Amino acid sequence: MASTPPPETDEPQTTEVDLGTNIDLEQDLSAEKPAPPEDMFFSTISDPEPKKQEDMDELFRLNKPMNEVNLNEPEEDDDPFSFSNNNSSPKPPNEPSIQPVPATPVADVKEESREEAQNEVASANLSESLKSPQLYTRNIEEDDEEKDKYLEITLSEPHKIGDGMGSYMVYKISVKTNIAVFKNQEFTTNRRFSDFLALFERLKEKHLPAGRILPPAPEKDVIGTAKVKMAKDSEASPIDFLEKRRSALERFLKRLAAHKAFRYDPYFRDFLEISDELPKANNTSALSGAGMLKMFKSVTDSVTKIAVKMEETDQWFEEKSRQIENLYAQYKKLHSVAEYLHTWRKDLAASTKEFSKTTAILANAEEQLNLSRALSHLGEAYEKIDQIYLEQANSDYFLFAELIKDYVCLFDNIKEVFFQRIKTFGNWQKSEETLKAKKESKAKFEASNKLDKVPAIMAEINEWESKTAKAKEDFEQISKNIKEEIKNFDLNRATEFKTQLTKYLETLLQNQETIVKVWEQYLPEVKAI
Amino acid sequence: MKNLSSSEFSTIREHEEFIWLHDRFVEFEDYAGYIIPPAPPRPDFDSSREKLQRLTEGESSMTKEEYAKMKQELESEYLALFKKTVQMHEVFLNRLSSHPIFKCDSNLKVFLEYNKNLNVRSKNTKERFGGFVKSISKNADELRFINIKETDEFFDGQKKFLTDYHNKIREDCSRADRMTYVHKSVADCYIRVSTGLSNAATGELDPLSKFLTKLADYFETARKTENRMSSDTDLKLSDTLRYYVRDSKAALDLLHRRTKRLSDFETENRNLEKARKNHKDEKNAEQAQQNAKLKFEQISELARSELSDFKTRRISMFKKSLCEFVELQIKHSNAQVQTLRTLLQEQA
Repeated sequence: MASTPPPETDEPQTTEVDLGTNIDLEQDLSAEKPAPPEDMFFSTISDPEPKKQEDMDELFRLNKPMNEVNLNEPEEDDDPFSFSNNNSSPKPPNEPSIQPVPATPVADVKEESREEAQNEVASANLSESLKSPQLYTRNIEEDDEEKDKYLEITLSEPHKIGDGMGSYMVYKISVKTNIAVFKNQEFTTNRRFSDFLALFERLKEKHLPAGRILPPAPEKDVIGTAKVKMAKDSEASPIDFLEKRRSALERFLKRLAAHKAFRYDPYFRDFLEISDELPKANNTSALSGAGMLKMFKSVTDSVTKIAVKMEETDQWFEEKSRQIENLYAQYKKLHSVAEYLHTWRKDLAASTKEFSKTTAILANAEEQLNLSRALSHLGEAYEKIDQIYLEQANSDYFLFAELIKDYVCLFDNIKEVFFQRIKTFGNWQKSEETLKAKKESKAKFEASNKLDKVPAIMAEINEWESKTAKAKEDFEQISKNIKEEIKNFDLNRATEFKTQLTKYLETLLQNQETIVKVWEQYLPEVKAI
Repeated sequence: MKNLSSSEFSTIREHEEFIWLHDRFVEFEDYAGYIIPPAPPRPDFDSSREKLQRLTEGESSMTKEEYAKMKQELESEYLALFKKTVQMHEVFLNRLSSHPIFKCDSNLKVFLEYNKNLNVRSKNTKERFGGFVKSISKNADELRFINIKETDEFFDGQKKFLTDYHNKIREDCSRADRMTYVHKSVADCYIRVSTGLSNAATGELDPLSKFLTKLADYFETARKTENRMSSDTDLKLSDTLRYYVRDSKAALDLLHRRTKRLSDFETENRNLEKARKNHKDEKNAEQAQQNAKLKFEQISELARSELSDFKTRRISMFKKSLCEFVELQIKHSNAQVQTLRTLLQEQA
């Protein structure tokens, strides 16, 4: 666990430059002022972005300088969701082509891999082409170290705070990590659902412009929440709903922890580390001001989606976009079928239970002793089977339906990312047009001999030239990022599906084997009648 | 409408004619002491027809393959139902023809031999109403019979047992039906899961595509097995239960007839006493009383043996069906285990 000394500290700052760059992209468009490179990092944190909530910013302002970001921790990695313990057969950074890592070596890994599992592999190939150091390039060089780091997160059963309408559930988050940035190696904190949503929103605003694919956000559920609120202490809260939610939130955090860009994100870190209660994020509620703003924004986005047609120069994006749309539709259908299966299986468990009860009753009514005994044991056999069906219904849900649902959401997020790129392109084009217009103005001034206006327009031209250059760069950057993200995503998807669904098959197998045992045990009883 | 052909000579009979035959047996007083084999249930293809209708309505929402598969599923379900109905009718006739007394019945002979239509019309409104009134009067009788003291312990116990048993088995049977229905629905879900997976596989690249296709294949195979499991449960378990719902009812009917005779006997006894008191019609009253007594004793004797037969029959039938049922379940579950094991081994 040697930590490398401060000489590294200069460089880490550049990692944050990237984040700053991304934020600036937004700011640029809205505020039209380029942020000075040196302050980029701090400016992202200290300047509240126009749409952000002031209070959350306050809270997320870091207490210590980010310079301590240390990417050189050699560690063991047993985080199930860590990308690095998988086929990071570290590729030499200068390999131009992306090597598709086949699914088979990954199958050896029992843990599930997330989006960024192939990160080092893919990012390795971009190192030479990147001028401005990015989070990814940084990590290529530290490929070996990154894979030893782990960030394990578990979410435990929620407990209720308060009573009645004002009550809410808090989830305990337990973290184990060897990443030096974190203050402790093991720590816990409590968070409520709206905190998760707030985190998601912040990360989205920050990372979406960079083309990063966010893990699916946990869903709001008014009815479930209301039921939980109204349940008195003595009653058991609707267990299903809470377990489903807990599992979804856990997956959300785990996916974040596995993604390079997110795991070092200060918002994420604060979310995990700050032991006090976070101020209630009112902006996540649908009726809040921020909520309204979001709705408005999404409406404009939808209009833009229809209106703006980008001329796609890169064939890759065209094909990929089509593929994503197709998969999105297919998986959506599959998901609803999977849920259907889950519901029917639950029904089967219930009806089997009923049958076992009536059979037991019948057994009691039966006068002949042997037959009576056989019938009562039949009732018992069915009781065991109904338990098995219940378990099967659970794995139907958690291993199958939820997996597909997560990916439906992820595909949706990818579509957003693609759209982001189109927006970026639009911005670039607009910049180009403005620049052109300015140049024309300049030519006009020079032609009409209004030389006094020339210096002013020259200044503007310079300004717009750098803006255009930057916009172009941003566009190229986001395109690159997206390609990278998608490649990782594809590889991850293959492995995650395989591992999860294999697990699912295994549960099916186990359950069937148990059923066989139940019947085999019962057979002699029948023969004894 | 049910048709049946027997082995030596064949006649075509409709379901109504079976019912007619059954009613003849029930009405015949000499048979009062026997448990009359319950009539086969009316064939019910309505639910299948409904399902088919729903399927054709939803045709647009599924792919061609899915639709074809579900249709095929429905057709085999229909076929199975058909076969079952035939079998029920067969069982009914077999019981009649293997019974030492029943097989000599002239009605049965006519039923089996007469080549032309028996011209049995289904009960028209009047007769149906008559049947309805009869069942009401039967219930009224039951109330009356409560007052009759059942001196015979055996019959008393039997009555209690049979009533209780009948109710409970009926309850169990309906639960079993629900269970098999849901089980079948789960199997049907598998079809859709399978198509969903293959569709997704087409959009993916290898190796994920191959994996998903394999998974789709598994679900396709699995659903056939699950279907068979559910239909076997239906055939072996539910049907046994169903049969005994009807048979226990028939036994209860027997007991009812006996009680009626007992009540008749008691009435005649009272009449005789009255006659003796009044010194009027003594001879007739005596005769009547003797008849009633004889009838009652006859029926009691027969009933006793019938009821113990009923018990033995019940036990053996349950044993046989349960044995077959469990063996089939084991077989199917093992098949599932095999499929899963091979699939997982391939993946590893």
